[in-house]
Amino acid sequence: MSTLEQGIQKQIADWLRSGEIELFIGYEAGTVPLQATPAFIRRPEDVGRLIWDATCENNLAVFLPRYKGKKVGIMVKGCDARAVVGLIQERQAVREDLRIVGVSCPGVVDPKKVAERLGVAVEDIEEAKVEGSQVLVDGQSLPLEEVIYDLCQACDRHNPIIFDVHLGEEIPEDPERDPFAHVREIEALSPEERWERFRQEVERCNLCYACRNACPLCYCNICFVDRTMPRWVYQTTRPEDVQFFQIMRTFHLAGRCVGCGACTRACPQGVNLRLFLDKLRKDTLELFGYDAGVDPEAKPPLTTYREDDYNDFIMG
Amino acid sequence: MEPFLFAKDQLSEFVAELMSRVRLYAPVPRDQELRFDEVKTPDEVVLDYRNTTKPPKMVLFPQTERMIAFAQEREHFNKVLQVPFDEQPKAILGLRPCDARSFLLFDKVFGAGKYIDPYYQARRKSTLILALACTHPRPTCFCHAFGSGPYDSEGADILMRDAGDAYLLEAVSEKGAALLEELGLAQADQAHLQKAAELEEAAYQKLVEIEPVEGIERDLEDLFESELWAEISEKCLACGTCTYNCPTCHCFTIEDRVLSGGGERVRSWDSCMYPYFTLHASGHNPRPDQASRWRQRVMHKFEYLPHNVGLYGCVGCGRCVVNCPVLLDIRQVLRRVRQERASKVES
Repeated sequence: MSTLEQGIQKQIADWLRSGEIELFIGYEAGTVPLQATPAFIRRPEDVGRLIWDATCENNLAVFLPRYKGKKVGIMVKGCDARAVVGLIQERQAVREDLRIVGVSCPGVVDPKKVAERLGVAVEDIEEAKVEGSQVLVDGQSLPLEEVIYDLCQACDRHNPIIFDVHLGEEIPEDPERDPFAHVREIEALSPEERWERFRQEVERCNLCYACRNACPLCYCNICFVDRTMPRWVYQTTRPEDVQFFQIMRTFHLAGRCVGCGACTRACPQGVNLRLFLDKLRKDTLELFGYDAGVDPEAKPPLTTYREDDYNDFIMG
Repeated sequence: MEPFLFAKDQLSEFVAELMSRVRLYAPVPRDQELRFDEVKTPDEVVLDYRNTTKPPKMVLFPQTERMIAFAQEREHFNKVLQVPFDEQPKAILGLRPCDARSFLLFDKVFGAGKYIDPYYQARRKSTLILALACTHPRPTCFCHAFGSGPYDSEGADILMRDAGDAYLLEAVSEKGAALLEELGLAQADQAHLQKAAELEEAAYQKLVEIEPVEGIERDLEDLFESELWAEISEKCLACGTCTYNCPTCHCFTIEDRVLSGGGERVRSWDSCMYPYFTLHASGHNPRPDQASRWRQRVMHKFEYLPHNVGLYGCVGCGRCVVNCPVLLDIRQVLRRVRQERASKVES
């Protein structure tokens, strides 16, 4: 756990003191090793609670729509920053109301990977901390890059593209890195095999909606699963209900998902949701040349029509 | 009577023996996790484990359960086609004492009082609980805050204890004693009793320090209108992880799944964390925000249940702590409740 740099702390305190913001959403130490927890800071004297290190996994952009119309400060990683852009594009946040601390992020720790390396469960990790590029746990020192989330290992957006204050050293991107390698593996399968893979993956889903609720772009006032007239889907774990929910949620994020992986990290069942969402991100990129969460002024592909849009699925 | 014993390398024989008598549930590898599920082969049971992500409550209170079925044909209109009470003899093997105690609360809610739940009751009456004492309490465990502990036998029919290369079995209930008599296992010898006592002692050493929960129901009495709930719930994402992974949460919803040709009335787990949970047909929602939902969660577990049935709605398993996507820690919530109450008393 590392307290925020003095300079950043002072900046946040100044914003709060001057009334530029009334709330700063950041991270503070959690009660379990290797997991930070969101912190809501309203008083300048509380900024000392804020931390930044590789345990700060939550995408805090998920909280922004709740404070629409208010002046809010927020801490974002490279991937989180894209979600903020997405929210600004969709009028769920107003750039002028935000004060953003953008942090260049080398990846966040996957406690499950650390536990696996120790041969225990996450709950059994008694003491651990991140120090620089190492995770110190149980007398061992594990290289951070080996125990960050799969998503972080494939990351090509370490640096925030939107911020008022930047934290950390800029991290150079590796042009050789393929953020869609996992999608290509699935694309190589036959339709039957792909369905089977999907079926097996969502079999573990128990409809806790952690994926939906951790997703910054899943902000509908009333989600389709909570609608009673009509009742689109029943709240049961019958495979068809679970599959329907996951398919609908995934498609509702087409052209909107920024690939932050908050859904996948939040899932207590370890469902690899990002596999489906990244397929749609890849399609959006390849077929429409659109990368969600990059340009606050850009029009998302589902809200525009261009004559050169991909039409093969219609024209056959 | 001395405890009985079987060697750990005889586990699959023991499991096979149980399987010949009952439908057996135990921790088995399913979908890349260890879960309480029906045992298919005797050698798939894993007893060398800490705890499962999903609680064993799903054996007696399945997440989705058919109550009745109906057909669309005119002659079957309004005719119940099926009322499947599950009375087949069952046993749950290897669940932790915290999870075994969770069924005591279910018994109060579903199996006692004015309304008896026949679906639960049928399952419960036909199920034997073989709890396995916990040799490795985790940093997130707080069963001892409830006056319980890793070797608590409450709620079990048989308590199993680790004795190194063997498990000791001791009857807790008459049902348990009857089964042990039938099984004809060897009597435990002094060496194994000694080893079991050592492991028990070591387990208690591992418990982290925590304030007892007792009395929290009185602290909560004055906090209904407190600002505390808004503060606590601010980071809550409103997902159902804490409730679905909780061994004591038992709220449910009932829906008629109308499909082509017929349908079924199903009972499914529901969660007080969901906005839809208390939504009225009028569109009014008496719990309009996450603060009121969190108040309900805490009040239900730590005030209403102790008042109404004499038990807390929490056994201290710690599942909600580790699985919460934002690490909203119930232990911290209880500490805040104490502080808030103390500051109220002072002022």
